[in-house]
Amino acid sequence: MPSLSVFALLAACLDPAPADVPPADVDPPDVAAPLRPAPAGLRTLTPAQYEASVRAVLDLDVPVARVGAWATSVAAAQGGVGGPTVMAYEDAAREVAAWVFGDEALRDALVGCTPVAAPDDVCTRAFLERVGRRAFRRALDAAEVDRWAGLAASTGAASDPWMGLQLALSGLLQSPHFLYRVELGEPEEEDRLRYTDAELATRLAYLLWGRPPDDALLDAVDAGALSTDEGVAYEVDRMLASPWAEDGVAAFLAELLQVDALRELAKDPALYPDFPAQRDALAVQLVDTAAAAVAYGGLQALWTTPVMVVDPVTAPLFGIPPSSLTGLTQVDVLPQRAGVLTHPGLLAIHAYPGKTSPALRGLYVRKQLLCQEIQPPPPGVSTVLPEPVEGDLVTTRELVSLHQTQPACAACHRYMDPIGLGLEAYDAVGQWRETQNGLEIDPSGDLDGASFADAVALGAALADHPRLLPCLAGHIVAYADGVTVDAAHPEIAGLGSDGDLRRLLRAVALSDMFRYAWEPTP
Amino acid sequence: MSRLSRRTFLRGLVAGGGAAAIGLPLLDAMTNARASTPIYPPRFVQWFWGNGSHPGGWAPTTTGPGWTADGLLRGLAGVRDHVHVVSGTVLPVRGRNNPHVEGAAGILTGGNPVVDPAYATAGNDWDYLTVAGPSLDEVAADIVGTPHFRSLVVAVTPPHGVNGPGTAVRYTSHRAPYLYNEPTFDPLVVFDQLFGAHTPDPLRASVLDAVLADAKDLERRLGAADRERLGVHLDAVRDLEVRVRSGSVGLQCDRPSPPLSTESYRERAKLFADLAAAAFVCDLTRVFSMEFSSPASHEGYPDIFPGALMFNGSPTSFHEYEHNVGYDEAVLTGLTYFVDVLGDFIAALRDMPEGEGTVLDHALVFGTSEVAGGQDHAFHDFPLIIAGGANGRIRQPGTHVALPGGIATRVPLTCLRALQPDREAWGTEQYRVTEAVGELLV
Repeated sequence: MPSLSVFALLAACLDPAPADVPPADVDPPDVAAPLRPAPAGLRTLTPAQYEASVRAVLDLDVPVARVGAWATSVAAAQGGVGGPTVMAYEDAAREVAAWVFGDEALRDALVGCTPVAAPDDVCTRAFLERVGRRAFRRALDAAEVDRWAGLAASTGAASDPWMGLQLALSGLLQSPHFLYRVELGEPEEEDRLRYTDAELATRLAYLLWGRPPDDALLDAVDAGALSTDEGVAYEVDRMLASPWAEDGVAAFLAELLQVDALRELAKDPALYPDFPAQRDALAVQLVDTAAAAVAYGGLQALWTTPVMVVDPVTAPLFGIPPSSLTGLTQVDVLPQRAGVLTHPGLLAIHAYPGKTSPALRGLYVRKQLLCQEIQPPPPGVSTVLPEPVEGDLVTTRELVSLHQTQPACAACHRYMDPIGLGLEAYDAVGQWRETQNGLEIDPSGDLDGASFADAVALGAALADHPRLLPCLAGHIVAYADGVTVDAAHPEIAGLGSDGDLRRLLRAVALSDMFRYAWEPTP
Repeated sequence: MSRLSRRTFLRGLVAGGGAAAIGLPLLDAMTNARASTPIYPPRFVQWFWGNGSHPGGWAPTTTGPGWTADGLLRGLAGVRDHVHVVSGTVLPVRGRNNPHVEGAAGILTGGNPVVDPAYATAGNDWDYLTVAGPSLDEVAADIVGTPHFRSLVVAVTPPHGVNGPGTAVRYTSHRAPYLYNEPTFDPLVVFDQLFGAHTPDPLRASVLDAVLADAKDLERRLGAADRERLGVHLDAVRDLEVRVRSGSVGLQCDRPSPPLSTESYRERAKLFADLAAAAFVCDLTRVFSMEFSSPASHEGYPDIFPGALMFNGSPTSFHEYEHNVGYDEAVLTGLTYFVDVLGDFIAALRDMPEGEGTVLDHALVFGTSEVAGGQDHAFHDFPLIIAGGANGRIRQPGTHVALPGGIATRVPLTCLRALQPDREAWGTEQYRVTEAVGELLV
């Protein structure tokens, strides 16, 4: 047991405390307080959702830009859209509309009839009603059809009828009804709102499929399929059985692992000249690797499965000769790699451009995977690391061991550094290394009482950590609702996470906190 | 088309009829009929750099006018007589959140960072924290008015990354919680917005009109926060619509040549400075917000450290290096460079003629950072600069004012009072002040 004074420092740093330390002087949580549902309102599409949504509207295989100012569902629930993003939305909409209408085969596949430039043109209105419903994730009302048909007619008359449709399409893709998930709800008994059937369908589709509802789901909504609890359960099971459920799992894992950070990640060009050419592939393969692990053994396997998805571009980061691979390959024979914690993509995100940071990597595990908050450095505390030995280069372990000599530093760094030091055998882009500055690296350590010899064992200790599964369950609720949640709340535990991701998604999709909202401030 | 150099750009602007032709085309309403001298619109510049300066090393050796611009402040030597340096103040952060977040919110918005109830469980994490109210540039924009653009918001180096909605550590120009003004990083894009001449495209404009019409019903059904959020989006659509429909913003001054593109941060900041001067003199905007680097920036600043700063055998960001090493020669070089770049900006306004003086005479530049010292997150001896004459409201020549222990937010209040003499107070909670720095005001 730690002494009282150490416990005070610890409590000041880490919230909640690690599992091995009983929070003796803390009152038990108020179990009666329900986990509040998210406020009703607007959510912008994340870049991934934007890309998937444009594709879904067109139902065609065309290149689509990833546009959006907010990379995560939680951020997109509050984040605003300004001038540069509006310009990017316009560029992307015009580009994709021009692409489709510039190719007669694509155009005919999308439109399916020949328009004339008139507000009451049957072909134009049929096109707008069909494509508009996919774009707005609900049927357009009469005024909306009139508005967009009017635009198509007037701009079509000025050039040609096809151009009218092209411009209308680019407009639909810039409408707030497309760019925002409009989830306003409708009054229900008690002090809460119930999402409308169409809104619920949209919420389900982005949660379970990572894309908007398709025509069949929208038809089901129109037929009242989501108006009963049984109907919702039936649709949820149907959606989870669809091949698109794999896309949904991948979309969640991409957010959980924050892979979008990789796409713009800058590394020191002198040290890692190939990284800019590798990072996009690495982002895709990190998600593929995670999805393969989850498919194999659920959320715990994410941290232990030795399968890595690699291609010739990323092979050097794994120490694999590129010439030994012909394309995207699943590899499971690398002794230093098991679980996404040892994937170069994740390791690169949590490192500085030219060097590793045990604190950053440890902070990531504590914060994102164990849902523990580490207090920021207090003002006025010197962060200068005392010079180890004059001028000599040392390993990172020796360097950051100096954190432990200062109580103010040690209070928090003792929770971050040991985890990060377990990953020190991977450099700033996740390449395996046995030495640093000519000195041998010692990757052993301890995670809240579970000792580990190396990173692979660290992954296993993480998988068994009692906080891991509740924390990941909390992330799914956060992903679904656009709020942060207390992973220790009984309602999160009530979802009954045993590591089976699809079962968890189902439980969230059917939960009250997902289907109801509270009213925003008027 | 070949890109022209920055020098040509500036010359192009000043040529073509001379300074008088591009000087204020305005405005009966702005002419003081009795004195029949033009009154220039007030301009405000919020100029921010990340990671602070050197507490204890910030103050010039002498106070009052004729202060010696050397050391960290050597970059202000050429404009010294237009610059007031305030030293010795304290920014009274609470110490509950990350110091970079608290400092940025404190000095720029005069408030403590906040978190939306939806993120309540994330507590004091900078991935979720935002500001409670508008930043100084937005408050200034309300005062000085909107000619064409309410403000121009630019940044030079990539902002600090966050994995969430948090804006307080990422952006320095805010309208409201979570509603920041997205900065533009490319001077050519800003040039195009201000001075670009395109073929008018009424069809494209009609599409944007329909988008705006589509939003009308939606706006009515939203709560207050979402209404404001959508409003910011729609303002940007409206702005784009106007430019697309007419092909340009309708200049009342000569169109300068486009700027050269450059990899150098300092050169890019100079291009923005020239654009700011040109935008002011054409009265396209009256507020300019520059984020040279973000709070807690992890930049390496290759301009001055081409081989990167090294620590324990590895290249290291300026921020991280400063934390590990303290105020060594390299760190002081970096801190000096931040002020050098601010000096360039002030000089660019000084070099743009307007009427019988220069744009700087009619502008007010507020320069600051989010901490006093990055090494230990110090908040005493906060870096604060006020430059420009603000249409005679800021005393000239520039001075060094030592305010030992004074609250740093008195300087933002001084800026606001120069723009709005009856402005009573600035800031909330522990930042609230009602006393400006009287020595600086006329």
